Amino acid sequence: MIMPGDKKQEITMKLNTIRFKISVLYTAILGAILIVYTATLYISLYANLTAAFDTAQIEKLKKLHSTVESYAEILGDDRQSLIFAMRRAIDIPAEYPQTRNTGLVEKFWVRKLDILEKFWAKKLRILGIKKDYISFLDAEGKLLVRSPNMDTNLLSLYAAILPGCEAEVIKKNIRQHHIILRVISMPFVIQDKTRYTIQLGSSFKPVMDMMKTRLYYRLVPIPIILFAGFFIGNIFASKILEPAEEITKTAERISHRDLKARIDTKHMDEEMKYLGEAFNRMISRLEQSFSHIERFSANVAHELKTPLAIMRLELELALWEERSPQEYKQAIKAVLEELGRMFKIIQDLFLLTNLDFQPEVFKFEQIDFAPFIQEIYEHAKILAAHKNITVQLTIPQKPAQIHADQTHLRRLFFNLIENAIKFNKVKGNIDIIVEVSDKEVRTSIRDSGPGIEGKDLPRIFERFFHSRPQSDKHADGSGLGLSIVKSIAEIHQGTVKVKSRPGEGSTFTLALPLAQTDDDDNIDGLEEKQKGEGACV
Amino acid sequence: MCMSKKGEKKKILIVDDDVAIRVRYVELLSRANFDCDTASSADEANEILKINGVDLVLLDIKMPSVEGSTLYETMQLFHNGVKVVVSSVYPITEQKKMVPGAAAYYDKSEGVTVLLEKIREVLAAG
Repeated sequence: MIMPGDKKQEITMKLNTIRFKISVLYTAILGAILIVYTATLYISLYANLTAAFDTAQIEKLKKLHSTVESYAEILGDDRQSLIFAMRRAIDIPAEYPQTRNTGLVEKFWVRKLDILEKFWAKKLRILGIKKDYISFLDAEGKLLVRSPNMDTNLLSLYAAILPGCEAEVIKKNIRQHHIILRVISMPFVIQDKTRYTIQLGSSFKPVMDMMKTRLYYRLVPIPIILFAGFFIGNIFASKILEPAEEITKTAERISHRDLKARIDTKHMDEEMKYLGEAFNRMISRLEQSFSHIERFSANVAHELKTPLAIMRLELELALWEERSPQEYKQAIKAVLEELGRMFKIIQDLFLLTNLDFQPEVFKFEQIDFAPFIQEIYEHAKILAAHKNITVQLTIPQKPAQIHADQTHLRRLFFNLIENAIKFNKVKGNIDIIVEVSDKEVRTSIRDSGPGIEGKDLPRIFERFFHSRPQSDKHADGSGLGLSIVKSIAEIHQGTVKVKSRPGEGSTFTLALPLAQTDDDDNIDGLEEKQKGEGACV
Repeated sequence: MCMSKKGEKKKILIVDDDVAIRVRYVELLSRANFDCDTASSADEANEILKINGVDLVLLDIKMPSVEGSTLYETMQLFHNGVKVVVSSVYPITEQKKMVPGAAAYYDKSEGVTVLLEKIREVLAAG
């Protein structure tokens, strides 16, 4: 059948739903259980009915035998007498055997025989063997007597399946003309010496009919149960998947403009609750990131627009009226200063982006910390000279090896030193104190500046946060210096902390882990990997 | 034009944490015949307002410690009647959200002519 593309797709989508799959699985499991249950019941019913049928047949066989034996008691157990007894047992007319046809004795056994015949005639009515297929065989399996309804065809079937000379009871089913016969072959002994076998076959139809009816009643409801099961499964699956729909709806509502939507996990099942809560946490993190980016973008715009505004102001003032060349020169110098400020901000932004998103720019190596900090100290003295600030370095004898990217670590220290100079008084002090413990090397940079107010302390590592008015001199700071310090420290697995009180100066402490000799191989391996990746990019 | 009836110059307080801005505003406003005072923070501005009366405050929004919006609210409470022209690099729509109710708003990228016009308009409005 040709189907329009949309409709075909729609059906495929419906079949490809978890709800449909759960319903099918549920129905399949239910179907399998029902089939196994029905089959077990059916087999056990068959076994029970067959056993009951066989018990009744064996009773019949025993009665036939006791009749034959009774005849034999009166007539004797020679072959002729036995054939007579067997014929009479299954109600076939027969003549008395000739062997005992003598005098007084004859009268006596004729009377006994009469009594037996009358008694057996009554019994036969109750036993109802007219429809049964009975044969009597001698010890060698040769046919002695058969019931009149047994044709040669059936006789040969009997002979093929039940030889009749076994010493045990044999039960077999024989199919003839669409009729199933249950045949039991049972050996007997007359007067402890003559062995013979009775084979009794009866139609198994009543049992088979009952089995068929039962099977019909058991199979017919199965499709109905499965159909209902499919719908119930569908309802269950819908119920289970309700939270997924809720999550989808919430996800649809969320956009970069509105990240407020959250999933109500109160009434959810445990597993879905975890999913919902994880989703909510993810959205919270996204919301934080978005608001961070928004704040950051606003800050970038603000910080870049300020020098532009100053440049415009400067240039407009210069053009306000005729000026001396000296004044024009000054105006141009001021504009250049602002341009420098802009470049500094942009460079710092680039650096921060690299720190955040391109760790491959780092080239780590094992370095000796003492000469490294000595070099920083020498530079710091030169930088601090214009404010007459005294710089002092305290360093222990204990050697310290660290894994570091020298360029970036130098940048970290210079940012801290620049701050210590910028926010220091003239003729102030800067102390660089190095301490080495078992696990880390701690470097404290202490200045004698005005200190930082308590409320500003938690925020000073934020991007574009200015803790002090830029009053003494128009600052060349980008507001990103300490953010860069923090990022570089974190990339070195280190921490940076600040202690400060207004009027008591500030101390920035950087803790860097010592290079572990045992781990060196691993770290080298990692570096190799980073280099490799870098080369691919 | 900028003189009061008695011939006194109008006094403007410039509140901005950026010294480059303050210096240039002072130069501009002095040339435009205004008296100027400067403050680098909200605290300094409050001190000046307590001692000297001013006719107009040119107020920056983003400042360390106390923001311009907080200072504006303080001025409305304790220095009632002082006119405020908000001056910031934020777009004017943003400024109105951050400091609602000011007499005028100036985007620092608009240029000096616009700034002087706005100041004069606010002062002329009485």
